[in-house]
Amino acid sequence: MSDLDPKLAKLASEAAQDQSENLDARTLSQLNQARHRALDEVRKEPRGRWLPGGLAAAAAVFAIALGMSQRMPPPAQPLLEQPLTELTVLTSDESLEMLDELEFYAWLDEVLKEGEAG
Amino acid sequence: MGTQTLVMMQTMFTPRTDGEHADSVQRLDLFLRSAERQAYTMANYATGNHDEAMDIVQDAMTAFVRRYQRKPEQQWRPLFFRSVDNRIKDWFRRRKVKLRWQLPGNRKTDDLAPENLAENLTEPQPDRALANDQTRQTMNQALSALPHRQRQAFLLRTWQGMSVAETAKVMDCSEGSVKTHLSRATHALREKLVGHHGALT
Repeated sequence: MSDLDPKLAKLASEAAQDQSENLDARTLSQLNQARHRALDEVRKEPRGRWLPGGLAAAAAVFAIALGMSQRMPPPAQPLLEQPLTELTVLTSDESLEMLDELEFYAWLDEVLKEGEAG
Repeated sequence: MGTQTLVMMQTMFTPRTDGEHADSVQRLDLFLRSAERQAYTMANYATGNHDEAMDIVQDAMTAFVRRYQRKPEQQWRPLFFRSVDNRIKDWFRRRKVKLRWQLPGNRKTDDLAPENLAENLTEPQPDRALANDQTRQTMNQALSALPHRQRQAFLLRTWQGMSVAETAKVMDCSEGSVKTHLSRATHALREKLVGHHGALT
């Protein structure tokens, strides 16, 4: 407190402290009531003090989504540049039939190779 | 964003259990008990009126509990006294408007500045417990007569033991302003107390 006159500061503190410690009974009673009224705000509040539901939910979802997006690695290459072979296979009617009989074609392939070798 | 924000949001949204809730009310109660007399005394110095001072304390307590109950406890004291200070300033503003309509037209408007109103409006407080202590009584009267900003800066620094930075935060002004208010308050108080039983010698 180098910016203060120590004696003056002490005198002022003692005077103010005496004022606050010697309040009359009526004032003390009113302060007590004021404190209880203020604390009623806490006592009445719902547990957890939820924000309005929609706002809280939206804020939480936004925070989680943002957090996750920052943690996800970027795609290896743009989607449009990826080979379309698998997509073509999946969207073709003929290919669906081929998938159903994949084991058969694998077996056939093995048989043909054995024939060529033999 | 990231972990810190998520933890903060979790703190905000996580419901307290009944035990935590009761504990929170108890800690707030203890804190307000420790500060309410000082807040009333400051408000009474400023207004010179019991009912006005009590209204200021009530409003400050309610606002503090609503806004700051979840702040860390070590921040409660400066936040509470900031709340008190804001309400005292509001009181001065209301008085200024009221007086503007009541005072004769030849009164200089500078007299109605908040920092001067305290001097104009406050009267020496009746000193109940210190009737025989002339020095303290004079000090209380001198504190009452100080302009509000000077008195707040002085009491927050000396009585509440706050640093210049904390005082500036509570008063919502720069540290330089706090030092200026302190210097002026010190000068004014010394003048008032000169000759009182060698109190300052």
